[in-house]
Amino acid sequence: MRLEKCYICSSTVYPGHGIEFVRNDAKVFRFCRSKCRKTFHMKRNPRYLRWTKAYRKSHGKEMAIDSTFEFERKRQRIQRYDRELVGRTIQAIQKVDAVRMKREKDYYKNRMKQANKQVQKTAVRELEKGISLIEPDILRMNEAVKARETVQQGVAMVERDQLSGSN
Amino acid sequence: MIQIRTVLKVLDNSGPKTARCIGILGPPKKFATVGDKIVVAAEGKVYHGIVACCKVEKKRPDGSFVRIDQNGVILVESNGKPVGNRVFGVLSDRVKQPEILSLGRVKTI
Repeated sequence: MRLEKCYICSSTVYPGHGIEFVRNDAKVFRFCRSKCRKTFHMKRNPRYLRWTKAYRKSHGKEMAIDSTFEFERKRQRIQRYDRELVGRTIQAIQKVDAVRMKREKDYYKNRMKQANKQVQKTAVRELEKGISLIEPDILRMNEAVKARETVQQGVAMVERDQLSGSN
Repeated sequence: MIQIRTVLKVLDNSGPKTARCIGILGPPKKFATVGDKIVVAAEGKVYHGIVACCKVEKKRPDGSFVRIDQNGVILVESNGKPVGNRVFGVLSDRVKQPEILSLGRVKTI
């Protein structure tokens, strides 16, 4: 049993799910659900559909080139069954997966760093444009802060007097 | 689901390119599917044929479905011997007749 990827969205197609379509040129396409199957028959290119992994990878939203992907390539050579080899492979899979996930996370973080700058820029621009909307609130806030400071100063003065008085 | 009047694509090099189903062999039923023997008419002659692929989805033992893009038939004589000696294109995995499987396979581009 082998878990295949959906041709359109690249999600895993588990046994019992989806449809396998054999074209007349003997090329096989696997679909995870009818949504993907129907887009295929509409002749849509997954590279232009935002919800597919193909789009995300081709537009740099997700890590597309990395050495960890080399491990998952399907080999045409048939391997003789070796229990030890299977055990080692399973351990290797776990290690490679962990490394890949960490790298993907870092890739995302790096990408979002640029996004943060953009968010701040937009926020500053919005503030400049809409300052009149919140000006009364800001003034009120400033008044409140000033009042609080005055009160605190007064309290400090009273405490000092009491201390000096008691002494 | 092949029935009478269905036009199928001939997948071997026996000569005709298309054949029309004119009867279904075996116990009486309305529809033939992959692996069934049918009677076809092609270029004025009557042959038997084995349905090689079918557009309707076929369920596999693991629960998945396979759909092939054409309805294909391999022409066969009444004694079961194939008329052609090469098969083109896609054959369903349900075709188990040894006479068919022993034919030369050519993959279409």
